[in-house]
Amino acid sequence: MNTAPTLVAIEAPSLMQELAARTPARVALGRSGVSLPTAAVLGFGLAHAQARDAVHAVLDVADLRAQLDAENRAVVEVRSQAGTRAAYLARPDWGRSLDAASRARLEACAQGRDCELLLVISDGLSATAVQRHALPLLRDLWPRVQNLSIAPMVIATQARVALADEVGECLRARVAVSLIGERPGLSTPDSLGVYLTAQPRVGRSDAERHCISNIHAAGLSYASAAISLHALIDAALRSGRSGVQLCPTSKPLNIGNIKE
Amino acid sequence: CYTNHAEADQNDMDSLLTQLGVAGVNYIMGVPGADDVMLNYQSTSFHDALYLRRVLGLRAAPEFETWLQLQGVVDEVGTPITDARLPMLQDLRAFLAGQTP
Repeated sequence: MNTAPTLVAIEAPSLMQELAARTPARVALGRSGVSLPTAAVLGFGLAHAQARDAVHAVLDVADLRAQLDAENRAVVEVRSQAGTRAAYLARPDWGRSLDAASRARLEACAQGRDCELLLVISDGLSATAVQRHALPLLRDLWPRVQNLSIAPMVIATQARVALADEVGECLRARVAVSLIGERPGLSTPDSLGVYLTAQPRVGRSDAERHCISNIHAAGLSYASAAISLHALIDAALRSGRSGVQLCPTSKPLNIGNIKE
Repeated sequence: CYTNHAEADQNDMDSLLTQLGVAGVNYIMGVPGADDVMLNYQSTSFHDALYLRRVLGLRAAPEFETWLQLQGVVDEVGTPITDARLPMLQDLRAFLAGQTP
């Protein structure tokens, strides 16, 4: 009788497993032959399915609106030219432009006035991140920027980062900040990113922005992000610049976890 | 590598990896368990690199294999050692406990 040899998964050394508890990374998985053990393969498949679902989660705009109303913040809702999530994923350029009705709504709202700071809550690639983390972050930020003139809060759906450029242009803001869901990974479905652009207008490049990334329970705290964001807002208002222009040398702004 | 908003999965990685290996590619990127937890996307795992070498009958680059042997990760023919007592793990544990090595 010809039986195939039995392969039993080899476990990682116990010290490695102990150290593995310190990181969300998939280390100390052991092996079967030289391949991943079945348990690791199945766990990965489940995580992948969950991450794929997270991309398609819909932002509960009504809930965000209610919370903002409770804080006495005026709200304007806008959407991009991407009519569906499928269109949004296939056409990033559509996600960077406002639909006609949204543009008209914003222009009516601006009433010819400038403002210093615009905050846009954008679904991006993770509605979950925004649903969970945008308001707590804003609550930490608002007291720090209460001396600034702030535009009505904008909630943007099917939104890419650059949509905030057009919103900022319509509302005549000197600094536009987009709080946006970052792409869901296997371990982190709710990572929030914050993008800041000085003198927002259509056509700004990513080199002209600053980004604070990975705001979530296992990442950057709301307080750290708010402190960094506040410092960036101040620097952008003073200099009129953001992105590589704001840090012309390699010496970083000493304000925490900033990426240019 | 692929993101979760792209139409791709780990089966595609296996196919692509094997095709690239057969085509003669000599370096692939690996992350633990194929999951890049910083950049929130997926790539190939260190296990996948071992699979590719094994299926194509290849060894690691000589200087890398020598280093792996010195670290006690692989044996004299490049096979992972089953019950490795790795000095670097002890060093890492000491570092995390705030002790200088």
